[in-house]
Amino acid sequence: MTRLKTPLRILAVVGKELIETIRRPGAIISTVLGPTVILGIFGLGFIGQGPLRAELVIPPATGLSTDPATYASMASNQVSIVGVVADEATADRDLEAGRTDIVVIAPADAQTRLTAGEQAILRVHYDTVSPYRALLARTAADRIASVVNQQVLERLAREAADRAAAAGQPLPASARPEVLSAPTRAEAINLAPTPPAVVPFYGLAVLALIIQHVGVTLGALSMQRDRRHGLIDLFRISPIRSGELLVGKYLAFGFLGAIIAAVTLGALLGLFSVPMLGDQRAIALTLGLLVLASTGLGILIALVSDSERQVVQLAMLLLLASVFFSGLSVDPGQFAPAIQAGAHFLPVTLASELLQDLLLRGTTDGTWRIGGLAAMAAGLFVLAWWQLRRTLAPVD
Amino acid sequence: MSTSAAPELTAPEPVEPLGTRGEAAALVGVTRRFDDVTVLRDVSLAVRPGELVGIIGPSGAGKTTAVRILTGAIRPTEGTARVLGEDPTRLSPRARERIGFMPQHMALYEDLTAGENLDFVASLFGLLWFRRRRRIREILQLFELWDVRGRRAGALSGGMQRRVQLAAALIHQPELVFLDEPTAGIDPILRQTIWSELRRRRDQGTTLLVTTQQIAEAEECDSVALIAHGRVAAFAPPEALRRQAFGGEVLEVETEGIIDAPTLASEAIVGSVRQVGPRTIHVVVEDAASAIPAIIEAVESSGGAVGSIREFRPSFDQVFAALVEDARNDPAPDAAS
Repeated sequence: MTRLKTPLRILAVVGKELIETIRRPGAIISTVLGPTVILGIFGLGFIGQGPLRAELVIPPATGLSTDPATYASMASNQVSIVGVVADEATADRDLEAGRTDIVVIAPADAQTRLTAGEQAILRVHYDTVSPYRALLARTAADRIASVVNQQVLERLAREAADRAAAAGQPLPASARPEVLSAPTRAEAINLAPTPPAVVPFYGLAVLALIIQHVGVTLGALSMQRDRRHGLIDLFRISPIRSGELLVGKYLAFGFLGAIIAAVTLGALLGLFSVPMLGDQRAIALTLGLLVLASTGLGILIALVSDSERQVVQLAMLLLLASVFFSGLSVDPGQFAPAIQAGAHFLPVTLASELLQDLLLRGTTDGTWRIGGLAAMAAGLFVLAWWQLRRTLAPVD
Repeated sequence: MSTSAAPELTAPEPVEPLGTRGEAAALVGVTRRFDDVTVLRDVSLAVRPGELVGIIGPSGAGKTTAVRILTGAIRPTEGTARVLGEDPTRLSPRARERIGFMPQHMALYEDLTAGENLDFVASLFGLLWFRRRRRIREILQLFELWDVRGRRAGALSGGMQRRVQLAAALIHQPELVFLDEPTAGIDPILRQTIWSELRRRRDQGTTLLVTTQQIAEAEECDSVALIAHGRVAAFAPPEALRRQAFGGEVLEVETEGIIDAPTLASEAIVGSVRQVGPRTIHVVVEDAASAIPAIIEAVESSGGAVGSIREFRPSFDQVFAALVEDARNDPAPDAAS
C-alpha cells in the first residue's frame, strides 16, 4: 500500500498538469504556433541579398564607351550595372535618392598614372549606415576592381601578344591572354551529403527552438501556477515529496513535448522534404534530452522568480538569447570564442547542431554534444529539485 | 442559567510541559518576528485530541501565523511547536497523511473542476481510486457541491470555492485538521452547515483547530483562544470566557424606581455593579442562580423594589471587547494551558 503511494502521487501530478494544459489550448497553441508562424513568415519572406545596383561614372576624358552593354561583364550575382553617366554629381544624386546602391567612378587619369607606373584609383561611393550593406558595398568594390584589373591585364596581354606576333616572335599557344590575366579560378565542391538549403538547415534549428520554448514555458508556468494559487502551502503539509512533484511535472511535459516534437518533425519531413539520414534513435534521444533540459530550465526559472511577470521576462530573455546565439539568426562562428562556448550552455544550441548533423549529414562528429545535453538535463533536474526543496522548506 | 461553580480560567501548572502530554497540536512559548515586526508574542496553547478549538481575533492578530507555524510553513523565532508529537517542520509522511489543512487564501487549480481538484488532493494524501471516488461523492454531496462537480473551480462563486477547499481539507478523513477561516465569505445558512459538520467530525474523534474573525462562532468551539496584538488574551471554553470577561456571571436587575447602583457594591456576593439604565443595573456575581435571593433582598433593603431579575448573557462581541480591553491594560505575556 505504502509503495503504491509514490506512483499514485506522481500520477496525480501528471494528470493534473495534462488536464490544465489541455484546458488551456490557447496557451500551447500560441507557444508552438507563435514562433512557428513568425519564423515561417521569415523563412518564406526571406529571398536573400540581391545584387547591388551599380551606376558607372565614365568621364569623357577616359575615352571609354558609355554604353552599359559594354560593361556587362562586370556584372555578377553581387553587382548589376544599372546605368552609365558621364559626371560624378549625377551619379551621387542617384545614390542619395536610393535609385542605386553604389557608384563606380572610372579614373579619368588612368592612362597617365599607369604610364607613370602608378596605380589608377577606381573610386566607389556608397551611402549606408548598415554595417552589413557597407560590407557588401566594399566586397562589390573589390569585385569590380578585380574584374577591371583582369580586363586590363587581358587587354595588355592581348596587345603584347599582337606585338610579339607582329615582331615575328609569337607567344606560345598556351599563353592565352584570358589565362595570363586570370591564371586560376575557383571551383567549389561541397562534400556534405545534403546540399545546403535554408529550409532544412534552419527548419531544424527552429524545431529545436520550439521544443525548448515549449518546455521552458510549460515548466515555468506550471510551477508559477502552483505558487500563485497557494498550492505550495498544501504541498508543504501533504505527504508529497519534492522529487515526486518534480517527476510528475517532467513526465507530463515530457509527454507533451514528445508529441509536439513528433508533429513538428513530421511536418518538416513530410511538408518540407527535409531528409533524415541519421539514426532515428539518436534523433529521438536528442529531442528527448532537449525536452527534459528545457522543462528543468522552465521550472528553475519559475522557482527563482518573484512573480509571474519575472517568469515571463526570463523566458523571453532566454528565447532572445537562443535566437541570437544558437546559430538561428547569426552563424555562431561570427562570435568571440568565449561567446561561442557560452552559447553551448543553451540546450537549443547543442540540440540544433545535433539535429542538423544527424538529419542532414547522417552522423555527427560531435557526440560530446549528446553528453552535454544529457549532463544539462541531469544538472537542471538536480538544480530544480534543490530549489523546489528550498521553496517547500519552512520559512525561517 | 448556570448553577455550577465557576470553572478554572487558567489550568494549574502542568506536571509535564506543554507539547509532551499527548496534545494533537501545541504551541509552547512561541514568538514569531518578521524583520522588526513581532506577530506572535510568547503564545502557548494546546489542542487535545478530539477537541474543536477556535482561534479568534481581528484581522492581523496573528491567527494565520499561528496556523502556519503549526503546519510547518514557517518556523517560530522562539519557542516550540508540536503536531502529533512531532516537530511540524519535520513531519514524517505518515504524520502528514493524518493532517488536513485549508489555507486562508484560495488554493485551488482554476482550470480543474471541483471534482478534479478533490481528486488531486485525495491522491496526494494517498487515497486509492475506489476510496477516492466514494469519498469525493460523499463530501461533494455533504457540502452541496455535487451539482457543480464538473464546473471549473475558477468559474465557481467565492463561497463555493471555499467549500471545495474545505472539502479538500477533509477528503482524506484526517485525524487533525487546521482550517484557516473556513467560513469567510460564506452565507450564514451554509456557515451553520459547516459548523455542524465540524462538530460532527469532532464527535467522531477528529481534532480541529479553526481560525475565524466571526466572534459569534466562538460558541461553536470547545475552547477558544482569543488572540489580540499577537498575544493569547484568553484561552478557555466559551462559557468560561464570558466569566473571564466580566469577572463572573451577570445578573440584569430592573427596579421599580431609580436605584443608586453603588449601594449594592458593598454586598459580599457582588463582584461589581454597573448602571446601564435609569432603572437597570448589571450585577456581577460568582453564581447567578444562588445569588438572586440575596440581590433582591439587597435592593429592597436599600429602599427599592425589583421589577425583574434574570441572568444576562453578554454577546461574544461584548466578551471579545472586554477581553481585548483587559489584554490592552495588562501588557504582561499571557500563558494558557
